[in-house]
Amino acid sequence: MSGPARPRLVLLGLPRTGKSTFLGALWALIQSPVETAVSEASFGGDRSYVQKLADQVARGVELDRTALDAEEELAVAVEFAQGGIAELVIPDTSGESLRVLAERRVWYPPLLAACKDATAILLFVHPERLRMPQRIVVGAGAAPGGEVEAQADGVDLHPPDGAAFQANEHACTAAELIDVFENLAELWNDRRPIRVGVVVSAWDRIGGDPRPTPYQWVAARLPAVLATLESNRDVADVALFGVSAQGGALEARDELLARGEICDRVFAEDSSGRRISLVEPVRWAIWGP
Amino acid sequence: MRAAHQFLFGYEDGHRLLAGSRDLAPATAVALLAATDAAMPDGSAPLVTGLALAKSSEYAFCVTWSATELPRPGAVWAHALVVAEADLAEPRALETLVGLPRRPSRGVADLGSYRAPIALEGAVPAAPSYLPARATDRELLAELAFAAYDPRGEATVAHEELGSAAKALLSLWRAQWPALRAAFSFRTREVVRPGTPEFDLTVTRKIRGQGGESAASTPAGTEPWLKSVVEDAASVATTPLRDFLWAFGPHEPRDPRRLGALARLWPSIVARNGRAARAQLERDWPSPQSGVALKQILFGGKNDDWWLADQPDR
Repeated sequence: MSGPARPRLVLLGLPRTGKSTFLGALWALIQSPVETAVSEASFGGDRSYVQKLADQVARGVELDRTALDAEEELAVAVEFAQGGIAELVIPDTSGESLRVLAERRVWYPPLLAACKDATAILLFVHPERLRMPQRIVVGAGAAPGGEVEAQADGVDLHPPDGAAFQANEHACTAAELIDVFENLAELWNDRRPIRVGVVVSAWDRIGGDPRPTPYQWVAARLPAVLATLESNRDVADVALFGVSAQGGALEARDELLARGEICDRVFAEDSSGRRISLVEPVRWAIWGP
Repeated sequence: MRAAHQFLFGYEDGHRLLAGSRDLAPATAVALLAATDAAMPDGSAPLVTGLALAKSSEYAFCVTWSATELPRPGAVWAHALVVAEADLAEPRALETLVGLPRRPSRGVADLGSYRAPIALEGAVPAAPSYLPARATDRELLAELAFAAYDPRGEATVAHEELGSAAKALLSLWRAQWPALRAAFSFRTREVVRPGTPEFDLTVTRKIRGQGGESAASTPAGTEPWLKSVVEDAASVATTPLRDFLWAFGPHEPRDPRRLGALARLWPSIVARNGRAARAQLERDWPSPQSGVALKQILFGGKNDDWWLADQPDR
């Protein structure tokens, strides 16, 4: 009889992309008797940090940012209804640690260690915090490199004030994430493919009629990222998710809290838009489809 | 001219470098980014960090403050001062350095004042505004000296009051001989996991581990050498022990435990107990190539000044 799985998951994402919120909501669901997809398998380990995150999610307040040197993690044995028991370890990585990789081209040692050991990655993107590619307008008298086009509807051009373009500060989110993926692929040379889940956080903020599925949203907003992942199936098994780990906007906190406990508020969708448990990205990262 | 380069870190869509007096190599920039960022709950005392930058033969001294006025919970301000290793050898420059860190009083409106290097010569050292006014906690100082200098010491010490801890850490650091000081990395933090190898000494309110958070501290030893180290570190004036450490420390590897070895030898010298001193030398400098200067001076018949080290007229 095989023992429990020992996954090492890493939540990656630039600052304020919802990693800690997801971790807090996940912990709340693991502890909730209402949630049937997952339960706690043992009572060992240090829970103080994730409990604090879960409390902040429950109160509908913005979570404290994760400091670079935080070294915090969720380390607990859990049982998934579909899968089995896993001794789960998920470090709460700081968004800044990914940014220094993307912008300074330096691995922050704890992030490097976590990614080297990772059995799967969940890559977080926040739909309202994307840096879009800078458009260049070629016009009469344009300076070398062109001028920055006026802001189009709903698109933040970067840099917004026409400042000189600097790759380490102004590269679009897609370019940064592709660069990150290529660096990760180098780490996994000897054990490909690794599961890489793209998690679009704050999914409650995605509008449209009809509302796009997570796949459609990533294809529209981060097409180069999707193309890179889909053309590297030998490197990564890929899945896309939309998650709302708060269940709504913190600006409408009273309304949010009126909807009940965390397990009543949070939701997630798979790539096709089908409703799934918020724990499904983690289950998929451990056992696959 | 001796000068400190300064760098202000703060929150702007993440913790980042906001202003500086020069460019930083990518690896140094990341090291400082990490050294200046920390979890700070409401009411947390300013955190101090000393970080040896061995690759560039520089040293960074940093103070981090909670930035509760900013909308993002957990945001911090941090002021890092980077000096050449050699600048740490000059006592007045060192006093000036530790008085330099300052929290921006007007937020980003202050950034301009962080864009020029600061002269370390000719300035009157300011009292560090981030340290408590109360006297150095000698009991804590003994605990830290034991942790840093004794082979049995742990590199992480739990202590509830981080303001006092910062003051004690700086006292310990300033008493070290310059080469050791330039290699000694230390910090105060609200919570850490044990085993962070890049810091020689960390004082923290909470140690996170498998059993949850613990705040228990290791009792320091009560050996005579420890008492001498504490008296020396707490003293503003030079002491005979400091003279001894500064004379022979530079011949030792840049390892805090070597300060402990020298300090353990000291009580035997003060007591003019040659037999005990010899035994100590055999224990801590066992090979003929180690502690050569020390052995020659103490037992080479050339100079017996150190055996009279406790004489008042010395």
